[in-house]
Amino acid sequence: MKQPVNLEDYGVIGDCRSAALVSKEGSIDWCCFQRFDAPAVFCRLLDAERGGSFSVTPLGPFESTISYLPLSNVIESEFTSKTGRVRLTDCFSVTSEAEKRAQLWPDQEILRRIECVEGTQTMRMVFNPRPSYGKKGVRVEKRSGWGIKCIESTDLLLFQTSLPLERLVVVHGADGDQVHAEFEIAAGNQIWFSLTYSDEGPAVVAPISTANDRLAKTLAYWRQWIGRCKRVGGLHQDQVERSILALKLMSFAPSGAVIAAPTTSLPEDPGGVRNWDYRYCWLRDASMTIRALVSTGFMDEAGAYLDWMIHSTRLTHPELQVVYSVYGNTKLSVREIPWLSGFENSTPVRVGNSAADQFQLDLYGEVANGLHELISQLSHVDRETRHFVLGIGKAVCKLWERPDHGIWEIPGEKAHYTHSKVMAWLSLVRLREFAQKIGQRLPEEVRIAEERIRAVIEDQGYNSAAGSYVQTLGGDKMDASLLVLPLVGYCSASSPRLQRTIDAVSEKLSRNGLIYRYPPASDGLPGGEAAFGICSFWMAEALARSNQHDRARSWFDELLKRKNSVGLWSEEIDPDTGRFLGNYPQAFTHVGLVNAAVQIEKARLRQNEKEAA
Amino acid sequence: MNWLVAMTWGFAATVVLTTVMSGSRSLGWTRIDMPLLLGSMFTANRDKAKWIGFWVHLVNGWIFAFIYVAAFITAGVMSWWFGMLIGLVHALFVLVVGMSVLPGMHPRMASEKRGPDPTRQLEPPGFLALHYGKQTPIATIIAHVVYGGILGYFYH
Repeated sequence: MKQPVNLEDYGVIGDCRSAALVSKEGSIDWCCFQRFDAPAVFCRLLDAERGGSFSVTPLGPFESTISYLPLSNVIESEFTSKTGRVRLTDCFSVTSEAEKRAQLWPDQEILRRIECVEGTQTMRMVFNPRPSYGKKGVRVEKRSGWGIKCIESTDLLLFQTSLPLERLVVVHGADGDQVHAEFEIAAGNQIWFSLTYSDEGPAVVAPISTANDRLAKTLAYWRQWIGRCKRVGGLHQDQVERSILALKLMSFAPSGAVIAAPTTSLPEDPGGVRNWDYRYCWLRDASMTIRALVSTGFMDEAGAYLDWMIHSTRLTHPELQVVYSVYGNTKLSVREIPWLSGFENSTPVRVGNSAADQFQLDLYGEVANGLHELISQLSHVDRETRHFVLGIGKAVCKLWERPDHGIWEIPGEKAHYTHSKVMAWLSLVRLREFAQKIGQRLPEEVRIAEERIRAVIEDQGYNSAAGSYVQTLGGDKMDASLLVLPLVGYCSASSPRLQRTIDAVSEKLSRNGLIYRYPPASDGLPGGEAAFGICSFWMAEALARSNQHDRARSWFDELLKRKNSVGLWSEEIDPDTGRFLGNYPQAFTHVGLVNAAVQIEKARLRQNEKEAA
Repeated sequence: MNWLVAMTWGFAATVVLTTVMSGSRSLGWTRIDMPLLLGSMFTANRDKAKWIGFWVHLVNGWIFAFIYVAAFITAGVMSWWFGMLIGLVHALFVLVVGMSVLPGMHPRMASEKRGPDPTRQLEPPGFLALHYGKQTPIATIIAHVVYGGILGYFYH
């Protein structure tokens, strides 16, 4: 059987606890219920035969498009065939907490609506749940008047449809059951499917007859939510809003965490071993994520993320771990899923993440900078937050001279990464500013460490022969993380040293308008990788901050041509083919887009002011 | 019932229980903060919540001491091991039942079913309070078993 279509043909739906990927061909090929890192119920993306999926597609040849309904996380796919034109609308049904208190709402529900726009069309529906990452199938049971019920352990999946129940055919297999249906739909008609998940009994059963109401509420919810997005100005508002909507889908509402991506083991190198689980929360992303949320006016989300950060790190305080679960658990043991063949045979398929065992010095700067973004707007800072920030300072004074694995979690030997030292310096700067705000005296060792780190960076992190900052102290390799230096306020983007660094990154790490994070295949892992999404946006932001508005704008506009039809971004992009690689969609890339758009607009305003003067 | 003994050792046992739980946090075993959990039912100010929660916890400990003593008297067993057994049952009840109903009764705690509305509320504890760290059940059981052991040993 052929593999599913490319990642760029997928959209994501979710409810801020779970997410599902929907293909342009109408198939849900990835979905974890309950929480992002729960075992997948559908994972056809990782194994076309064993993975399981939920598809609604035209029978016979057709062409299709996929897009989001404006200002929402509701997907609309359109299928056109010789006989008719059909629309498929997909979403997780969502509403406000106030609404949920007023009426019973299903724990989690995927809603699918088929409507025929022109002519007639025969459709085929296949519901093939395969819990536990496809390890086993389920036995399904037709319940007259309800639908199809599947019970896996204590979890319930309830499949309902507006089709007559007798139209559903249960196909019993040795390895589990599937539900099939073929039906014809004529112009003006609609068919509904609802899949609800519950881990509690009795489950809330959402009647299929009121599905239209839930879809309307879902659309209203997203439109009201994104309506709060501040206008960044310029021509990029729609892209910013799409990125913020995507980022929202990757936030975990019960704790406030933001995950890196809702998928696991989508390969950076198809057919290779670079397959990681990204359904966790990297502190590396903290300050940039908070900056993106604050600059677009989503203070509640930024505040919830800050709270999560303070409490989740309690188990390791004052030292920080690279990655935590959505509830702050620190043990994310890696396990392989041997029964899955992997996306394009990229094995092993991994669950869990070993980055948790690495040491990344830059985290301290990321977290301190993230706190700074928010705390500067608070009138009162509670004792726990004070304790947390001061703890970061102590840890940095103790740790900054040690080598680490760097922002890119390069395995093997640790090294003295320039970016890590910059972030260590930044954490102490933010600590000093914080201490001033709360009127606390800092030990002299903090000031001494801050000055020493800066001296070390300027002395050894800058290579005079190369004429730029470099990846490691005393080294000569380039690294795209050096573009972050002006973004966090280490130096001016217009400074000669940084300008030469921007040029060097552009010269050595860019290809077809995209930036690699470091020279390809230089990290010791087998196989290669593509250009890294956020690095390309860092370039746009660095240019904007160096008052090169036109160059930044041109770079950014070219970059935007790489987005897919639903406006989403993956972790990596092949510069030659434009193919999306790595886990998808990727929060970090969307954060980069938002921050770059904001800075480009600021640069435009500065340029206009200058011209007017 | 010897009220003076129950009050005295109920107080002492609660102090030890609180110390064990607080020590578990400092050792990085768990993130659970009982004073914050209880106090935030009354105020959103975290600093005040911890102070109020500390007193609520203390009073709770006292009240439970009388329940333990009533169990000793009715069972006719006054021993450290019987106190520890009641402590174990108490801890299991708190972890399995108490924690699962807490989001429903706590005005500032998010539910596990929350979303997409963001929350700046307390995160839910989950089954056995595992969301607060995988060793939270162990710390909670040890604290309650010690609490029961103290009461059982000293109440005569």
